[in-house]
Amino acid sequence: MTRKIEAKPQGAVESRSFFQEAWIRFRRHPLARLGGGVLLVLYLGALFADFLAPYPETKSFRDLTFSPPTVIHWRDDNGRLTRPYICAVERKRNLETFKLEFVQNCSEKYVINFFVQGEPYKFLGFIPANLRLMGGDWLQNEQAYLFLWGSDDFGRDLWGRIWYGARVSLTVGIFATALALLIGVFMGSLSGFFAGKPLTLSVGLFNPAYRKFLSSSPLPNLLKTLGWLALWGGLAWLIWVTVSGFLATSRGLEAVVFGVVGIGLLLAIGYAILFPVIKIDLDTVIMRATEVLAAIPDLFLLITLSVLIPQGIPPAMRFYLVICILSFVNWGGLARVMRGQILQLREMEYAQAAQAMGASDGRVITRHILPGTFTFLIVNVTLAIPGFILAESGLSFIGLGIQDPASSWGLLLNKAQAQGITAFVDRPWMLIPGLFIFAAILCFNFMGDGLRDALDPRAKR
Amino acid sequence: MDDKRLLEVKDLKVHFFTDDGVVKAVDGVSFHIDKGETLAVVGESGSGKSVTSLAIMRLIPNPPGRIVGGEILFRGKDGQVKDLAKQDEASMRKIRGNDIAMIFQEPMTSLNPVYTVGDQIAEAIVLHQGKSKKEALELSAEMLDLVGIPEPRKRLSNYPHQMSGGMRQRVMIAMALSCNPSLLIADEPTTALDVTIQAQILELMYKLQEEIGMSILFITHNLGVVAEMADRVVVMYAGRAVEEADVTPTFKRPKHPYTMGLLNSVPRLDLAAEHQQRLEAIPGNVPNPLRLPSGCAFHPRCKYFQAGRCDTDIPLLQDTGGGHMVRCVRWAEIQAEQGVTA
Repeated sequence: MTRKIEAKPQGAVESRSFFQEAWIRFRRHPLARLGGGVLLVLYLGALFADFLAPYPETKSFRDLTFSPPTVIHWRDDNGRLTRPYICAVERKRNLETFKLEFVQNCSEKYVINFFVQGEPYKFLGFIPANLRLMGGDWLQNEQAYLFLWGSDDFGRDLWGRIWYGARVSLTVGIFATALALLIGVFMGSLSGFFAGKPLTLSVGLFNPAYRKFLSSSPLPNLLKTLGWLALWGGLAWLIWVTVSGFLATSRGLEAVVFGVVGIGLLLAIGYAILFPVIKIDLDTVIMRATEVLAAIPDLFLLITLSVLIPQGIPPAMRFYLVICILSFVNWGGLARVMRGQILQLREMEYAQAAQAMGASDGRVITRHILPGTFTFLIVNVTLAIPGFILAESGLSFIGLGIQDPASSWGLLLNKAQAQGITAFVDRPWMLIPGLFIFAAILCFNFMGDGLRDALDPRAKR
Repeated sequence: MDDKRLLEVKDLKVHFFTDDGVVKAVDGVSFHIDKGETLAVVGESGSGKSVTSLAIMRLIPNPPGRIVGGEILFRGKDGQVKDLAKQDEASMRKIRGNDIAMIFQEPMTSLNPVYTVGDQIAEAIVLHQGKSKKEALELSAEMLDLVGIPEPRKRLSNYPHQMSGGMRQRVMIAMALSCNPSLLIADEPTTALDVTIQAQILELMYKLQEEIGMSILFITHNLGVVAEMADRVVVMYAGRAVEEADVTPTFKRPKHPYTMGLLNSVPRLDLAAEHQQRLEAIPGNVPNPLRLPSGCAFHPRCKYFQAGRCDTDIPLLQDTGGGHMVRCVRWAEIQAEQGVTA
């Protein structure tokens, strides 16, 4: 057997980038592949929710609340396989047990058609469409009802609502992570890069350093000075207003105390304007802020902030506010780990080499230090998303997140427990959204695990 | 400043203000570099040679470090003389990479692992010369060719980890030279390489200097490299220059005991076997920079130490003729003594 040897010029090896290598490693990780696959299905489901669901999101049938999953018949009366069909269902109260029962009436068979014209909707919010996966004329004429996974307390189709809810539940994680990432990375990089390098915030006007400062670049520094003066002035005015307000309404010892404190503060500001150099250590400020944030219990903070969302605003608005709250509560952790990474990378020789090439601080951070944290960030983000999904589900579950008539998995799960423990016995289908939450979280964790193995440069397998 | 001078460092003082006290890493160093000249700064670890080079680039980490005194006069490409010690950050950024470039010690870590080498060379060109990315890449390929990397165009898309140490150092040199600097600061550029590669890199730098006509400030502790590369040498000890001279007199007839010690601690292959001597080590260690010995900082390790003279006052840098400067009170006696023994 002869093998053709292609002469490759020396040194011209096909280069595979780090991410290509990582992708190959990722694909070898079976659980990660499973997680990725399931997530892909879930996200596609959320994207094509209108197509999957036979009914629009808010369509409700008031006399069919908590209907069990519709029985789909595969055999005709003679026991032969046929196209799937369903029967009409009637709700009756059983006079012996006093429970509501759903009785099938198979005198007429309603054949399920696939890829049918159904209720019109807008795909992606702007493309008019009316193609739906399942349906038939009977569905639109409301002769029979197709509740694949039963219906909820308003008689809405749970199967459809799960897919509509997936849009919220699955994107809330991504958007909230993105926002938390943005804040966390920004704060973390500032904090890490300027750790131990305090920035001069203002120089007192009569401080000898001020003349030097002004002479180094006159116009911008003059503008800076005006900015500080405005800032200090604003602060002084605020203190003045507060103290004079207190003074007007108090007397005796109180008035003396307020007066002294107020005058003290004003004098301090005056001194700051005139004499000292005020330096600010961004690292300290940002890190102490994250510590304060971390000291407040997460759930407590979440609930408090959620209560502040006004009632009666559109669901989309509510969705964005929930995202903001979630990321506000969680950016601290990300900022802390980012700081650590940046602190490590800024001491690398290539960061110094970049500085020696004449790159500015901003350029060194964004072009030379941040890219080094990407692998770390990707893993971190994948592992953070499930946390946000859970947090949103939790909020919606206690009724503070997404609210009816919009849909989210946590909200749907809330319905399961709405009427007490009977839900688990009488209406087990109401727990299906919980399974979706479970699956999504598990898959994100699998995928994060696989990514961590794939992106770890020390991983040799 | 003299017309042929490129850089003149006068009485440079760099101090580090640490919790334990003030470390005078560089304490009154003066030297100059002419156009097209190579100056080597030699010394043990901790003698202040790297800090001197960082001070010229104004890259001293602050806090804790600060240039507390002295001038660093530098003639820019436009012919204007500037005091680098007093420039603000923005104008320093224009000088770094463009007028003065730097090569670091570790070729393994001074290239960014996430970018291709082409991107990294092009970055400096785009930054300083305002060229488009495409032109810059074209120029990068030429630079890689210049530093002797085969198939430069293909190599542009390589990542640093695909290259050997010597190749990476060549890339670093290409990067440093891409903007045609008038001064190249090479901070121990060959320390991390093995000997054969060292020779190649030195030869390359020598050749490029001839071609481009830049000056080199060569920081090293390798005396063999100095003999090969430098025109003049500054020997530093504990933050001060102790000897400065042309390379040949320094090596043939060192006048400071420290320089002699350094030279005696290097194996020599040029002597016949019967003249070979045991290598002499300089006893003791570099002094703690927080508590420098009184007088001449070298006196506790010096063979020629004389109580009452060496440990009282810091000796002055004296011209011994022909621009050969020595900071030792006993240099004349030592010379005489050596003349007798030799």
